[in-house]
Amino acid sequence: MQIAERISPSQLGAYYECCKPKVVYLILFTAFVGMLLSTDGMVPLDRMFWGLLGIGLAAAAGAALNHVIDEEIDQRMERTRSRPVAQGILPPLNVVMFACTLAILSTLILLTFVNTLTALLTLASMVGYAIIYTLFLKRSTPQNIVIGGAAGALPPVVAWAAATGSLSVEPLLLFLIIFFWTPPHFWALALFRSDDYARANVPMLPVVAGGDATRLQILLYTIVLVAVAAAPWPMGYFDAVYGVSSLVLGAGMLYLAAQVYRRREGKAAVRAARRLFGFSILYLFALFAILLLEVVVAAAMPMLFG
Amino acid sequence: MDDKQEPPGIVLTEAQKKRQRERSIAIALALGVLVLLFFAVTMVRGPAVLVRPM
Repeated sequence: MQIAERISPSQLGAYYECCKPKVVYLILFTAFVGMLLSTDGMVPLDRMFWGLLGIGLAAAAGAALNHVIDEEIDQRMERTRSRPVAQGILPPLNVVMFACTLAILSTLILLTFVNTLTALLTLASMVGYAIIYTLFLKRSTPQNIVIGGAAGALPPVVAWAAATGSLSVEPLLLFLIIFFWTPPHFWALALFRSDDYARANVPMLPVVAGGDATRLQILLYTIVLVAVAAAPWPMGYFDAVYGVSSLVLGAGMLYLAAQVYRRREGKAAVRAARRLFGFSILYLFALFAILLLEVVVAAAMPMLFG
Repeated sequence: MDDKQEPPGIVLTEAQKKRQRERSIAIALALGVLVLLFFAVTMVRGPAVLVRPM
């Protein structure tokens, strides 16, 4: 076993890149919102700090494991070929030890400063992403991202558990929103990257079932997504401000998904898929941002108006 | 997956094979560590940790 004696600054940057920082920050954002929704008053700051730190470290560990497991796939795909492990900048064994260190640190932090339920849920979502999704599902079935999406949808649930030590309906609603959001989001990407996935031998839906089947699935999942995202309003969990904005944003998603469904050839098809992909990120971010704003406004109201 | 979509076969060089072995060992190690972690967390507070009021 060889370990370099010193880590150069460029390697340090490569380790940081292995953590997929942008993904980790989006996860932390959804977790943060899940945490704020969980209690009427303010979540104790120390609990929030340690909870988010533990969740972030685990997400980074999962991302680093993904870089090692996917080395060969990444080398064959345009989008990922410059990743540090795929480029041979970092040895796989070192990255795995880095990931294990992050995972152990995360577990210790959550066990010590938060609670056992959070530690277990966090570990489960990391294993769900890095091992079950990356190592098995991604390589074997076109339903890979549907099932794997469950791991990506767990952070708000985990954060709720961190803040309250228990679970409830609201975090499960947030879970369902991310869960049904994942397929249209990823299949839009897979539509305009299908050559890439075919070259890497990854059985993404457009590669296996073709573009038409994928477009239909995107449309169907988007309809379910819009319904699931609006449901908490009539169910009385989130209020009308959320409900109406979710319907407006949902109309945007539906329009773009219908465009993807209708435009099947040439540049127009690629453009439609790219627009849906781009908007889907904004959509999810906006839904959670509205929930966040409501919590902030609800907390500020009594202070402003006594 | 559909057999017809298999690429014409990828032949690994010696260096790639070595890298593949390294990667397999690394992944096995990671799995081992995660199994131990799960075991440890469950033991710390007992398996009843998942019995929670909803």
